[in-house]
Amino acid sequence: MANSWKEWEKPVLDLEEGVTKLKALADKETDAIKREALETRIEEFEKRIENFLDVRYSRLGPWEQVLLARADPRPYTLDYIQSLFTDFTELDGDRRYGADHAIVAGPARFNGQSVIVVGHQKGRNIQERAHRNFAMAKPEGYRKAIRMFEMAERFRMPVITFIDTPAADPGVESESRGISEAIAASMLKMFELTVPIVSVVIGEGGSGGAIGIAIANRVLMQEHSVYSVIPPKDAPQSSGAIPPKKPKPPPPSNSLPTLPSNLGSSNKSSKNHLGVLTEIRLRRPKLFVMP
Amino acid sequence: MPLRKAQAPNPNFIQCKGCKKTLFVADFEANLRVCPNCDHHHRLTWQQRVEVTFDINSFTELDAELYSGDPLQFPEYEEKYLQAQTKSGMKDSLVNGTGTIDGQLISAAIADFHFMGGSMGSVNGEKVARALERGVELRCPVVIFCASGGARMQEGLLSLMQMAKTTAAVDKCRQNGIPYIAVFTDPTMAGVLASYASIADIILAEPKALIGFAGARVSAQAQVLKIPDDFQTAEFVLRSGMLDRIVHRKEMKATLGNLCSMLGHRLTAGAKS
Ligand SMILES: [Zn+2]
Repeated sequence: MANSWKEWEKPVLDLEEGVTKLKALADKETDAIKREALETRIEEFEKRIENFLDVRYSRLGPWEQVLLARADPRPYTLDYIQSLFTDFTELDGDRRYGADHAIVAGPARFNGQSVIVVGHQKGRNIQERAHRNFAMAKPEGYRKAIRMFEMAERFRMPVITFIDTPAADPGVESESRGISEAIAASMLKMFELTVPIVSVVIGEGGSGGAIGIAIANRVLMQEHSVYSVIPPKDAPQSSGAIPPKKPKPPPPSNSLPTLPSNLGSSNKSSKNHLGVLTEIRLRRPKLFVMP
Repeated sequence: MPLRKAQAPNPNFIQCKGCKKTLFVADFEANLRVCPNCDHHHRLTWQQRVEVTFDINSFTELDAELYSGDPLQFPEYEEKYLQAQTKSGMKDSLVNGTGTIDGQLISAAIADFHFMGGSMGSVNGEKVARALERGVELRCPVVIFCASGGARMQEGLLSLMQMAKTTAAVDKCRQNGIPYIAVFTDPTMAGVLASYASIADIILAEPKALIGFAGARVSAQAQVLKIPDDFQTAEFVLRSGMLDRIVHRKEMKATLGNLCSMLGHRLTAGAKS
């Protein structure tokens, strides 16, 4: 079983290296015929890469999906904010206990429209990961989110949330400050909002930690992201499979999405058979580049 | 013969209250009274605050005629009050009015610590409440710069009641979808902190500003464990979840302008139509 997405991308990396070298050669080549020959080879290589990716990425197992969802070159919430939004002003306070850096939140402009953005934030290196607590939010994070949702309602600002967490923080401190209540209250607040909410699972949608800020009118998933009821690390890993959990019944009424059941992964073959999601945003399998 | 010859202060120089370095007044003023050496944010008078915050010549003071009586006949209050008035040219410790930031209309209140420690008596509280209510009337965001040692003891229970009055005014803003941003400047304490200041939609603070409920000595007595070194600084308060952001004075105008226009997006649209 793979430990990293890099293992199955290895052949691609080799091929890509070849392409880069060939391109350098072609650039230097002055002879038109030789140059054309090189370009043909480059095209051939590129086609092979594409074929390999198509085939490989259509056959990913559940565990491989998880690895992909966790792949660290993926764009994180702040990357999306930086490239899709302007004027983002991060706000920190939960007005209760502390600042939580596993969830970032604040007003911003999306295509010029004032919105509230809330999202889990992962870190790229050891210090950042510790600072972000591996995107595992504490009660403070959800209470900050609740404040943002209230503000969104008061000032009629649509809400966009980015989901990318293995789980909510499981520590003793979080328990003693009521992590469960914080998640539930956050969901409740989202149900109460009359402004539109869009949630996007951009990587890992792990359990209550994810759905705490994912009650939306539209739930989107990036391709090769996952949405599951327990963090995959808690499921038996030896088989590479996630044991099925009994799907929960959908909540009564309205257009809001149903709850996640067993591991929902998003790719071309296994999309949305549970009816949890409203849309899957397809992208090239090698998705690790920001638009 | 005096032991030490009294030195007349050189008007071209000023000593930084943070690092004690001697600074050129011109440099210091150009840097918005922030020490270029240690970044210490010095306290501003309300006029200086207006100058660094609002568009040039856009601020109009309102409710300027209000001043306090001496309802409790508190010893020496009248004398001190008159003294403070003469010294500062202000009627009380807070000024309110309207101005624009990046062209956007703002209802504002600015407390001045130089006037009796920015203390909140009946007039201070009334002007805060009116600034908030003016936001509702004019359908524009409200920005309040806090600077206060707390309630004004010379007005006794009437000062305490300002906490309730200003809180009710904040509620009016909430009910009407009017954004209200508070900026904690050095110091923001006690009765002010425990009322309208802490229930703003968004709370910003200047770096290192002293922010707290009880005086540090009182807290020390009530505390068994050691008090953290940065106790009651903006940085401590941010970690405690009570602030949203610490904003450098140079960034304050842009940050406020941006937040007001995002939160008040419907208000601006309404004004245009
Ligand atoms: Zn200094």
